[in-house]
Amino acid sequence: MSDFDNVGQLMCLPLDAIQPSDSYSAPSEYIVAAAAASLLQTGGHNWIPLIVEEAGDYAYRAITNHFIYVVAAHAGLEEVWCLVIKSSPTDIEQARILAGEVTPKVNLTTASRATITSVLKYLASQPGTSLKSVDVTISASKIAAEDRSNWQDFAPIAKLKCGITKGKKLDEFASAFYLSPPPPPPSPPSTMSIKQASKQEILERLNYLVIHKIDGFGTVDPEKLSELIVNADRSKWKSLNPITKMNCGINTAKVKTLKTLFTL
Amino acid sequence: MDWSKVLANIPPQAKEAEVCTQFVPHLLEALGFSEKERLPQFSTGAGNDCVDFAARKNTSDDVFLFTRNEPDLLIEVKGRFTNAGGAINLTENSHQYVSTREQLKRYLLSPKCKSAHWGIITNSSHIQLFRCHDKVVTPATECIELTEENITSVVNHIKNLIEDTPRCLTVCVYNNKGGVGKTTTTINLAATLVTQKKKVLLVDFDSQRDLTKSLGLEPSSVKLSECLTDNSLDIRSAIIPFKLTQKSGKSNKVYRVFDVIPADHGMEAFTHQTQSRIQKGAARLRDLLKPFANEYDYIFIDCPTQWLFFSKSGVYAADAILIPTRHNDLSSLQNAARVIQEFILNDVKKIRQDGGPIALPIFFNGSPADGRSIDMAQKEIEQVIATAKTVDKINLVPYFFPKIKPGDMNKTVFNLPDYAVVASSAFARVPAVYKHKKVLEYYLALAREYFLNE
Ligand SMILES: Nc1ncnc2c1ncn2[C@@H]1O[C@H](COP(=O)(O)OP(=O)(O)O)[C@@H](O)[C@H]1O
Ligand SMILES: [Mg+2]
Repeated sequence: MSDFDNVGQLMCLPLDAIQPSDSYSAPSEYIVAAAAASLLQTGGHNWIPLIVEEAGDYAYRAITNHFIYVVAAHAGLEEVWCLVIKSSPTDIEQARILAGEVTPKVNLTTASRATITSVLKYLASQPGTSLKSVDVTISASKIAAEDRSNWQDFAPIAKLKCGITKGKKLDEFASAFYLSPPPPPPSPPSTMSIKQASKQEILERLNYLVIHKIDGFGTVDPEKLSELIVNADRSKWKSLNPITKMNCGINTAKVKTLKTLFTL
Repeated sequence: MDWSKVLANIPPQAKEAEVCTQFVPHLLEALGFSEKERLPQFSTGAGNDCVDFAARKNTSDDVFLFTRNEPDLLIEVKGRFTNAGGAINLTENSHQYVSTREQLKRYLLSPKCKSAHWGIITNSSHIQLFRCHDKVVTPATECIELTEENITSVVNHIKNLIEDTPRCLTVCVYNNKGGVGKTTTTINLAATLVTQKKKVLLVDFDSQRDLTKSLGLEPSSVKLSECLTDNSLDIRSAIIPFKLTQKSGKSNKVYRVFDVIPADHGMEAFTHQTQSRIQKGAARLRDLLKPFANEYDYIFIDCPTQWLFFSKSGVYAADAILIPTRHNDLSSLQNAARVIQEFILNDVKKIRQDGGPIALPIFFNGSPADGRSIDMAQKEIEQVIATAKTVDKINLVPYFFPKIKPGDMNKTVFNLPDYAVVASSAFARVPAVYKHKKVLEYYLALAREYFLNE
């Protein structure tokens, strides 16, 4: 936004400098014709602007409010009033959202129960929905109760028995949401013998599991556990099971995970 | 050209000699200069000065390698590291950048290099292209950091520029202070350059139309204000020639002195409605003037005082800004600093992203050569420079005291004397330089100081 471009400015632009939408279709011929008549009756100055971006030197692309382009063209106008917006994907997305052209998506990774309920209610009220049979309150509660922080896709929903089953229903649900999971963890440290590992080497491997919250390790104290392992009489171990008896929150399920980093 | 291979062969701590052998020959090759079209260690004709490389395209009967004259491109090379092992940083405004740029400028203006239109500084990590037009050296690109990713497009861009040398230098005469002589300077400087065989176009971009009126001109049927809003109009039709009649014996001879795009009334009525029809806003004038790049030697744009649409357009359209000041008007000196710092360097240059425009050093318009009032102006300038240095960390010395050199605190500012004829001829519709020999001498000195490389 500077005096050396037109971003943020209301501009009267030649219609033939604007590239119209290639996907929009106007509601009905009679509405377009009547709107064009109304526009001409008031001197041809459209008060609601077409929203455009600069597509090049003296060339523009329609972003939203496409109806206005169709009406102005139908009315035979050579110029149309436009608002020039910033040309970035997020700015364009925002303009389309605010114009009501696209429905904004909700982040399911962090959405509250109330938000999930509200979205489900909206979806279930849409014509032709496949979610009509879904009990919105129960289903929203079940989803909200889950730890969604690491979900990479919407597949876990289908396993919740909340009425939203794989297929049409889940697709419709997914159309209103997006996920922002943390990036996948870096590759793990190499596997090594637990009998030969130094305290530092044990700690490094435990830290990896704890920091990236792998298989419920988020609650394990790596300092304490590595200390206990180093001081145990490891030479006689025949499996990693003795670790389950160290009172450090390691059960047989977690031993399975430890086996990916430690051999005997 | 496999640039990734070339770059991989340059040692990370390459000295100048290594950049000269591992990088520059490939660069010249890519810029379209064959082995017979380039020379290392080209003697510039000024003392023992040698520029690292010179290049020129051969013609059927002239091989540059053999005739060794009329270079078109000079390259001043630095290492990535000095021979002593210190890193050389060529990022814009670093100490080494400034001294390298000044070195290149000196070479470009040397006796045997007057034909050179282009100059490059590079250490293979950075590169910048400069254009030389008569005496004026302007950046033609920003100082660009070379990477494996951008080098192909950067070199191509430089190649495209040097293969299409524009004939024209566009100068905007501007100070954010009125009455300093912008219009007077524009007219008389233009008229003076005409006597030196330069083809000149003047653009009156001030809605007050002082320039147009003082030359007694009227706009053509196609008006500048209309060209701003209507992309289909041909700007060439807006040109009005300024002619003078000379009596020789019994007959009158009509001379076409220079061309003018006059200001028109449409510019006065510059409303919100008009502004909504100027696509690209203050960047529009620059596009409008592009068709003249090979038609004229100089385009001068006369601007009004305020930093608004008209002046912004003029500065944006220009390669160089000439800033008149008055030695006895301290605010004109402070405003000159503002123009350089805030408007040129911090605004337009950042938006243009092509290295331009540049500010030429200021001059005193209508001042005595010395005396108490000059001393006072000098004190004021020292103050302005000190403030800029401490507050904004910017060195304004070259813009106010261009003659200062290490060991030589020469604080002379070029001055154009006050002369009554200059003021009175504003009504005579003839540039003062054509009425009085002495005035022509004054303006010729101005033209030599800033533009002519004789
Ligand atoms: N060198 C000069 N000698 C005498 N008068 C001058 C000189 N330069 C400018 N003037 C006069 O100063 C006044 C202001 O000059 P002008 O060119 O209109 O300034 P600006 O365009 O910056 O407002 C005019 O009356 C002009 O004739
Ligand atoms: Mg003026």
